[in-house]
Amino acid sequence: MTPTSTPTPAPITAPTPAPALDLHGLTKRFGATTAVDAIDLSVPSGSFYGVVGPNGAGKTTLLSMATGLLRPDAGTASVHGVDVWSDPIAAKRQIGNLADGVDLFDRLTGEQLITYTGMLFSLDRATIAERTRDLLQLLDLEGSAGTLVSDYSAGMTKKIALACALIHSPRVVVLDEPFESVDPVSAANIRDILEGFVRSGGTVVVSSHSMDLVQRMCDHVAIVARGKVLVAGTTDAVRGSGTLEDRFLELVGGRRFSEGPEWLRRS
Amino acid sequence: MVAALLRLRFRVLANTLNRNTLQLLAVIFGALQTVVILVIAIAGLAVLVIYPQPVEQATVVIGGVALTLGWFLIPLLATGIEPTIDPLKLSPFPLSVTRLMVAMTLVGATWIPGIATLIVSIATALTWRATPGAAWAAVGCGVVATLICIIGSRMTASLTANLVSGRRRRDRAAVGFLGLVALLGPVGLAVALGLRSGAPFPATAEMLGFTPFGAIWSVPGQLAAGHPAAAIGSLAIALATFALMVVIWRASLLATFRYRGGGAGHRQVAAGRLGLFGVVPTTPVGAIGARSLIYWARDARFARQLVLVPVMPALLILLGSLLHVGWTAYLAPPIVAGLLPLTLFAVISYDGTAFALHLSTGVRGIDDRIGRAAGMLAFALPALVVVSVVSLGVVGGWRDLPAIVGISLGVLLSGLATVSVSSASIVVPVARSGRNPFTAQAGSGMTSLAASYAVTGITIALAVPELALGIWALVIHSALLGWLALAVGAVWGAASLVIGVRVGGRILDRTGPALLARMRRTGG
Repeated sequence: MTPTSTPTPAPITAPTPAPALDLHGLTKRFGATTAVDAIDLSVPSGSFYGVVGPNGAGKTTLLSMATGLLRPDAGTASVHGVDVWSDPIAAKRQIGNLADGVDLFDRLTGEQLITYTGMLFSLDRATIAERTRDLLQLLDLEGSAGTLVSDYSAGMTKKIALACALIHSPRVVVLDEPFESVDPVSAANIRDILEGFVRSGGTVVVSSHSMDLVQRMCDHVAIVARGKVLVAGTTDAVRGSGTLEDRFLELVGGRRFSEGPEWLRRS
Repeated sequence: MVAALLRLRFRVLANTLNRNTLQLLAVIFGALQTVVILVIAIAGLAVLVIYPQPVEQATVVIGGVALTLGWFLIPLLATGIEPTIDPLKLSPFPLSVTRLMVAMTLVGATWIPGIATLIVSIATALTWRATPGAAWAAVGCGVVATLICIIGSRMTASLTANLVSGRRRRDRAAVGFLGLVALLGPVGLAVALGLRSGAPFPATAEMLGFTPFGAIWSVPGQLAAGHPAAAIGSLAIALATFALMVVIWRASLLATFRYRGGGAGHRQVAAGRLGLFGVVPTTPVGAIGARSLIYWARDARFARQLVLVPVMPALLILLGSLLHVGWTAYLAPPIVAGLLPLTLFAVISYDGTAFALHLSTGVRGIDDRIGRAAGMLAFALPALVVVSVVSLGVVGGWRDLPAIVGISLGVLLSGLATVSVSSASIVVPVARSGRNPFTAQAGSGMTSLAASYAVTGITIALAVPELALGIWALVIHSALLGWLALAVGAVWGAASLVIGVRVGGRILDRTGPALLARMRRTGG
């Protein structure tokens, strides 16, 4: 397979020696199935890293273990050299995490939820207030600041979760399916925010189903399937001469060239 | 179709138990306990035969009314007591409401509480074994009584579910209150009328025999006493009750399908209004404490438990006046003190997967525990003082206030200590936030029940010093011992809480990710 480490496209700040996210031999089994099978992955500091894979590839499990939500059966995860599982508090201060498939404390208003998250990080009141205002404005949620999160649409819920992931000014942002059910305008705004964050020296890890988006947005990409990394490296190196989607389908397989069963056809 | 639903339900139950040994043990424990209660009840019914007829009748009818009321009221007080079929989840399938109702009734009848009720109802025949006709009638009435219990609990569950998911909160509360009055009115009236006569129990029983809850239980006794006309009258009332409940339940289920997806209505405050978050210190403890308190008020799953605070003393004072004794009022403060923390025995289940936020922000377990305990103490302490003052005030027991407050405070604090530990390792399936809080979750009933028993047992064991001192003070009317109980309750209770919070925090640090993983898998 294609070599994993390729030079980082020079970030503006000096590159730190430790990778932003360093995963070694991460493994998770659920009963008889191995969801994540000894994955090694190194996310260079200052990169915009895409993780793509088919449904059930183990993306969410992998990112959960990398961010301290799910204890791995084996392997280590560290953020800028800090081990996530032996020094969770220090590691988590550096991670902004948008997990997929988890609820929010939706009996709080959007503004309360961001404030709550800031308080869990022990930020002071003035900082929380200022950042909450900025985030609500950036994500176009000012009008809904005082609405209960339970009354938010799916897209608004994603955006408020993203705001919560950013409130403590993390060094590494890990986003699991951040664009799912987000409208195109908000998605573009979120991309701007993330790209600005990367330009200023931050690191973004994002999982997505959208090959097109990842190809345009990410400078690094890893293709994950059946709990393993099939290929990882700079986006250009991974996709070679074709598109990322071509490469993905070629590696993952499973494409069927059929029009579906007879009975499902209407003519 | 009905058989398929029953199979589905047992499959869900088996899968849940398969995955979780603790839950399996809880079910076994619950079943054993039920068997013990059953044996005692049946023995009691059999021995009853040596007493004169009015006493037999009074015991069977009053016991039966209590059992029926229990079935009716449990859906109001507890979530998911039965592992059941959620009609809303089945609504996409082509399934008639009638079949659904039959399936739900059978589901109720084929689980521990339903089976136990059926057995004990039929066992009333033992009491009437001297009169074969009445005994056989008791068998038939036992079946009908069980059906009334099960359908009644389904009906109240469905009605309250609709009310809670209704639009405006105040309307809901008003309708709920009216419904409760309508349910309890006849019973209250019967009790009141019965009490006016010379022999309170038999007279009360006689009146209860003509109320919706008591009618079916009184039929065999009336036959045995040689009042066939009264028996037929009671039977008619019982069957009418049954039919009416079926009609109401059916209408309520249809309404559920019609209004499904209706949210709780929008609530909006101006930006910048942070409520409690603007007041508490900006630390994890402050944040979690404030959120707990907000959830007690705003989350129907918690707010529901607050009903206990006024209802429990009211019931116990009523019971006291019924029995012409004052001591029942003394039970109210400790019971409220014990039940409030019990709500939190698996509190992380109520967070659901939103608990991921605590993990991803790296909240220390101990901060989580302290925050939640503080959130409860903020309202439970004042509430306990009020309940104590009111309960003792009604029966004129002011002198005993220190002892009762001491006991209650001790129970509250040691209860909090216990749940601080238990909730660090137990999650049970509960209704998700914002969903109908009365939606039962498969497999949760017996675990919840057994864990509640365990938590209650440990709480009482922890509170033994102040309990002993307080009860001693009450028995020998010693003011000094009462004050001593108060001091011990406060100091020893606080000490237990400190230990509980520390131990629970350490456990939570270890178990947090596993708890989240389990909630994610159980469809969180």
